[in-house]
Order: sequence, then structure tokens, then C-alpha cells
Amino acid sequence: MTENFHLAKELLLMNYGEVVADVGGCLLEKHPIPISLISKTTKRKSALVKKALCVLIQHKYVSFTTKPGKDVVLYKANVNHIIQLANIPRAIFTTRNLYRSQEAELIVEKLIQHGEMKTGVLIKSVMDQLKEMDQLKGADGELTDQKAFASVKKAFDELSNAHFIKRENRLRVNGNYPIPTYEDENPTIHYIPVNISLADVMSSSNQGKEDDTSEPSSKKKKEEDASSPSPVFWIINNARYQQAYRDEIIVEYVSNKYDVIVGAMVRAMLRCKEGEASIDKKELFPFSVCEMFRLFPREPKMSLDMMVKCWRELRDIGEGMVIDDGVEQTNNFGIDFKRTFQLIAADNVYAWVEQRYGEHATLICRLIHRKQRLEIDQIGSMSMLPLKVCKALVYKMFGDHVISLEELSRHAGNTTRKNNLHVFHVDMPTLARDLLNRSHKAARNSLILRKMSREKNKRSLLLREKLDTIKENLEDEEEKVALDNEMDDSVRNALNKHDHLVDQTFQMQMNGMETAFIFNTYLNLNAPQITIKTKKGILG
Amino acid sequence: MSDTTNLKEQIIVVGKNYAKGFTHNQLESQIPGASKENLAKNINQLLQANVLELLTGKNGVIVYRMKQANQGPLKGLDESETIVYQVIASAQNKGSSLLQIQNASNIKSNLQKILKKLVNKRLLKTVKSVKTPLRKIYMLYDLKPHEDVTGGKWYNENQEFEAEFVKVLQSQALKFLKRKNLEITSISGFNDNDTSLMLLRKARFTAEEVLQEIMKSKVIKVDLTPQNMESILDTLDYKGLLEVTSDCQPTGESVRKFRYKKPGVKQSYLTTSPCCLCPSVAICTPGGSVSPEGCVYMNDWLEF
Repeated sequence: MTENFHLAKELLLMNYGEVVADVGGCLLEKHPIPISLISKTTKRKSALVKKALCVLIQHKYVSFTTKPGKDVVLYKANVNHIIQLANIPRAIFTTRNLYRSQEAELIVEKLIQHGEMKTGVLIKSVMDQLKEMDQLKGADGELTDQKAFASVKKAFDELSNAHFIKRENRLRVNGNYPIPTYEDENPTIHYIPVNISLADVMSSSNQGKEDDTSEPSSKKKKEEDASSPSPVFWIINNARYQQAYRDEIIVEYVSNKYDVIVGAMVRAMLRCKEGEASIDKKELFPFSVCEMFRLFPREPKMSLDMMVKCWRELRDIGEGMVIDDGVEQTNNFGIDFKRTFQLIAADNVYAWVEQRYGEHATLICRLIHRKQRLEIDQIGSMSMLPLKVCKALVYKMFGDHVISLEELSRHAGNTTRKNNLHVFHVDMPTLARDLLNRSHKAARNSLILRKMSREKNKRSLLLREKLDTIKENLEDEEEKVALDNEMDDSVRNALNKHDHLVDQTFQMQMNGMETAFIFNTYLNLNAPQITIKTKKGILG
Repeated sequence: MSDTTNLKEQIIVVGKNYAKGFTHNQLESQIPGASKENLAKNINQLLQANVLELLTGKNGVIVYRMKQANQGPLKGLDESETIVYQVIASAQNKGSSLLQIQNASNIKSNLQKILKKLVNKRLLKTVKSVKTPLRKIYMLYDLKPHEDVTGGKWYNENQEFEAEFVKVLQSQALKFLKRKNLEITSISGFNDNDTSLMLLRKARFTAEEVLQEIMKSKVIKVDLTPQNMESILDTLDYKGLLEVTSDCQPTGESVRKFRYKKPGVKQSYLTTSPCCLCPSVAICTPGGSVSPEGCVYMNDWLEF
């Protein structure tokens, strides 16, 4: 199992407990399998396995299918969805940055917590939380409810218009078929905002208290059409968040490489065509500068002519990041995501090589990657390093699988060893995969360390919690200080150490997931296309 | 005897008349009275005395030619030595190794003795190549070895790589380009005519311009060519510090220009996290001999 599977299991353990982690881990190792096999492997009763599956299905970590011709339901885990658990803080942070409203943040938090929620129940729970947080002060309760509802509904509509949340596919039970199937709907329906009033929210929330949202959606009967508000379930659109992360990374890269103005231009372009630049697209098709000019911020002031000049210059010097439609007069520009992520991934790899092996090794690595294949003598002469030093570094990196060796025949048809050339090359996808594994490992280790520190300092943490609860009820500062002094120095030091560890490891986890995202996107965009010919035709 | 001597002289006269060589038929027509046996006998004697040499003409016809007396450096050398000398001379200032001389001259035995003799006579010299430091390279005594053999400006007399010299050149070139880039781009953002990106065009310089700037500063006293400077700038490009573009001149030729560039990735997480740099990451498991809870690198990183 690669590191992402281990990380996924650790995340399930942290968020949902041992049973769900065992079931999820079993499905990750061998899928798709039926309940009976899961029960046998995990040595747990099938009732317990079913409950765990309910949780996993509700959060879209597991999907179900049937074996052709048989009535057996098979379950399959999706490791990429599970790993998104490590990205929850980033999703909330992105929502906060984009919308700067607590309502939007809370909506996203609730949906992540529950996996899927009915419209009315979701809005009501966010309203309740806002009231709890004392955000809205109204003259009387009804007015407060009205204000809360208006702000939450506005945030809800904004999120659905921007496709950060979407309607869940409706399921249809088909007679004797063992599993329900998804209805064949037009995907644009998924983002239509709801037409719901405060009264609907209040009435549906009363139903919602009995109608437990933790039941799997496969067992629920969904009601009629998309326009009726209550029966619609909403989920987080992970693909849209990944698109937002991708855009952030590109803007940061361009801003660092050139300047913030160029970064602002690229951001304006990406925002302009949000709907056409999904995470799986290899390029943003060129479009007119006039369109993106409208979304450019007012400061710093920039004329349209200047922007056109800038884009042309960026196309010439941007190493292939910016593309055009080939016609000079039309001023249409786009971004090649595949090429951009090649550059970003390569820069990350070189930074790692420099840290691990030194400056000269980075020079050699870059040189070999640029020239694709070089002999050891050529590397020595082009890098302008003493041949001895060059050879030592090359062989060290070869031993660590950073660079690879290939044997090419000097003359066609003559494969005797004496006549072969031995050339070195850098296999960037392999390196990227290795570093992706390392990033996942780092994220997993940070979870393990936090868990261990929590267990080690359990008593001290409980003590601190008790003291904090008591302090909240006290008003006198002196009494609070006296209460603080009751804690031993050793306990205080241990808690400080624990807090420091939590901060550092949390940062490590978030940075690890961001780096993993870069390499994952690079590998997905640069994956070679394999076509398999079968008797029935060609499989893409 | 006098007839024989006379015949030899006649053959020599014919040889001088036919500077490019003569066939047996041409000789018979020039000396009509001589018998074939006598002619053959005298030709053989002249061949043995190294007065004539035997060649093969077109269609396999045998041609005799007056042998040129060894002049200049080849005077006093025998045939093998002359061949070896000529093979080495053809390699000019790149020289030939022992194997190359053997293959070209087809002389395997006594080659070492011949080479030693020629070196002692100061007709040849041995040189060490930077590419093959363990092998001797032979070349003509008066020739200056090619840069491929000596390593050029980057190697000293002892054939050692001048790493410090290269480092100084790299740092001077980078300093100049960085300074120019900063001067030009700090013209607050942009004005009506130039965007910040357009200003970057002015921060590009050719290898020749960079070299002139370094020579002005008098940091180095060695004469370098623009090609030498280009090699240095290329290494900075491979380090990711420069951007290289090809500008088309009005004359139609393409000129390479160099500009200092900022890195796109300021600080990668891969360079700060201990797990990403750890050499034992493959065997790291919770509870194992190498584990995150007992990791020395992790403890150091957390304490830092």
C-alpha cells in the first residue's frame, strides 16, 4: 500500500473511530468486496460493519455497485475523497478568504461534518450557531431569525452559484434491483440555488430532528422534483475547491516569479473563466483580453493596451505557461495548466534536491533534465565542475534513484556492450511520485505525533480544561491568576511543549497536503494516455 | 658494370622526367635498347637503394617514382618513423594517443621505441589531456595543444580545474545581472509606456556585454572570449538563477541574452519538513525501529 492509503486510514481513525477506520482500511486494501468479506476480514459483526458503511457512504468515501449477473452488493473506497479530510482547514480558510463571511464558513463546516444535509436543516443549524455566537442582536426573536435567515440564505446562494456546494444526485429505487441507482440528471441542475422561505426552514427543521441525517441516503426515498426545497440534499463540491487551490498556487507562482501585478492579471483571467477551467482541464482556452480586463482590480490602474502588451510579453518569456490562439490581432490568451504545473513541480523538485544534495547537485539535475540525456563526460564539461566532483554527485543521486541510467546502442543493430552509450536522465514523474509519497507520509506522521502527545498529556489537558471552565465563570482577575498558579511548573511546561508540537505538526500537515496537491495535479495532467485495444473497440 | 651504371643513370633520368611516376611500358619506350631482364634487375637495385619507390596506379598498374629525399624534420628518419611522424602530424594540435597511432600506422611492434626516439629528437612531445589524464597524447613539438586537450582557460598548467576562478566569474556575472535587474524593475511599477514585464526586456544582456562589464571592474586579469563567458552564464542558467532568451537581430542572426530571474517557488515545504529530507523514510513505521515518535530529526525540528 502506498502512503496515501496509510494516511487515509489514519484520518478515518482520527475522525470517526476504530470501527470505521478498520472497515475503511479493509476496503482500501481489497476492493470492491461485499459486507460478508468485510466482516470476515475485520472480525466484526455485520451489523457494526453496516453502521460503519453508513457513515462512509454518507460522506462519499465509499460507493457501491453490483457484480454483473449477481445480486451481491460490492463496496469500494475512494482514497482521494478520504484524504480530503486532511484538507478541511484549508477548505474553510479558502471559503473565509473568498467570502469573508462567517455564514459561508459555517455552511461549509456543517456540510463537511455531516457529509450531506437537507436544505432546511442546514440553514437552520447555521442560524442556530450564529445566534449562539451572539452575532445578531435584534429587538425580538422573530426579527433576529429573519436577519439570520437572510444572511445565511445569501451566503448559501453565493456558494451554490460559485459551485462550491452542490445538490446531491437523487437516487431511485428500482424494484428488485439490489441497489438504488442515480437518476440521469442534467449536471447544471446541481448548482441551482433553492427557493426556500423562513417558514419552510422552521418546519423542515422540526422534521429534520426526527429524520436523522446520519442515515444513508441510499436507504432514503427522495421526493419529486428539484425545485421543491426540503428534500434536496447538499454536499461539498470537492472538485471546485481543488480548482480554487490550483488557481491560488498558479497565482502565487506567477507573483513570485514576476510581480504582484502579473499575479493579479492571471487571477483576473482565472476568475473570468471559472466555469470552463475545471480541475481536470489541461488548458484554459484562449479568450479575449477585454473580458478579463473587466475583472481586473482598480488599483493599480492599468490600461487595456498595457494589459495586452503584458500578456504578449508573458507569452514570449513565460516558458510556455501562457498560450494564444495563434492570431496576433485577436489578443486572445489562455493558460496551459499542464505546462504550468510541470514548471511548478520541477521547481519544487529542484528545491528538494538542493536541500538534500547541495547546489552542485541541483545544477547537474537541472542540466540533465534540460538536455534530457547526457553522458558523464558531457555532464562534467557542461556543468563546469571538476570531473571527480561531478562523478561523485551523479553516482550518489543515481544510487538514491534521483537520476536514472539508460544504455543506448551507438550503432543500430549492434548491441555489444563495448558499443553502447551510457546516458543519464531525470525521470520527473517518478521523482514527483516519490515526493508525493513523502508528503503523505509527513502528513500521516504529524497526525500520529499529535495523537501520541494528546495521549501522553491527557491528564494535564483535562486539568487545563477544568481550570479554563472555572475561569470563565470568575470575574475577579486576581482569582483567575491564583487559579493559574495552582498548576505545577512541570505540567505547564508539558502543556507548552504539547501546544508547540500541535502547532508545528499542524503546519506540517497543511504544508504536506499542499505539496501533495501540486504533485498530484502534475501527475494527473501529465499522465500518459494509454489506449487498450479490445475486440469490442478501443478503451481510452 | 659500366653498362649497368649507365642503365641506372638512364632510369634515373627517366624518373626525373616523369616526376609523378612512370610505368614499365613508359620506361621501355624511353630506353629501347635495354632488355627486360636488365631493366627489372636495375629497377630492383634502385628500389633497394631507396632511390625509387613502388606505387600502385589506376587499374592496378605498377608505377615507379623517384623517392623524395627526406627534408627538414624527416631527414634521417627511416620508413616506420616517418609513417609514425606523419600520422601524428595529421592529428595537428589535438594529438594522438598510442592506440590511435597503432591503428592508423599499422605498426604495433617497436612503436614505443620509435616514439621515444622521436621525442628525444624533439620532433614530438607528450601532453596530458584533461579528458583522459592517465593516457599520454603525442603531438608535434612546435604545436600549441588544442583547448580540448588542455581544458582551455578553466585549467591551470598542472591540468587542474580552477574551481575558484570559475566561482569568481559566476559571482561577478550574477552580481552585475542582479544589480541591473533591480535598477530597472525598481522604476516604481510601470509608467504609461512600459509595463513591469516590458521593463524586464531592458534587463537582458549578451555574454559580450557581461564580459565587458567584468573586465572593466578589473577583478580578473585573464583574457576571456564571449564564448567563455557564455559557458559561465549557461552554468548560472542551469542553477536556475538566470533566464535565457534568443533575440532576433535586424541582421537576421539570433543572439542569446541573459537576465537575472527570481525563483518561482520561494520556499518549498519539501526543504523544511524532516520527513521529506529523511534518508530512512521508506522504513519509518509507528512503533518500528525507525518511527516518528522516536525520530531524532523530528525532535530536533520540533525543538528548533
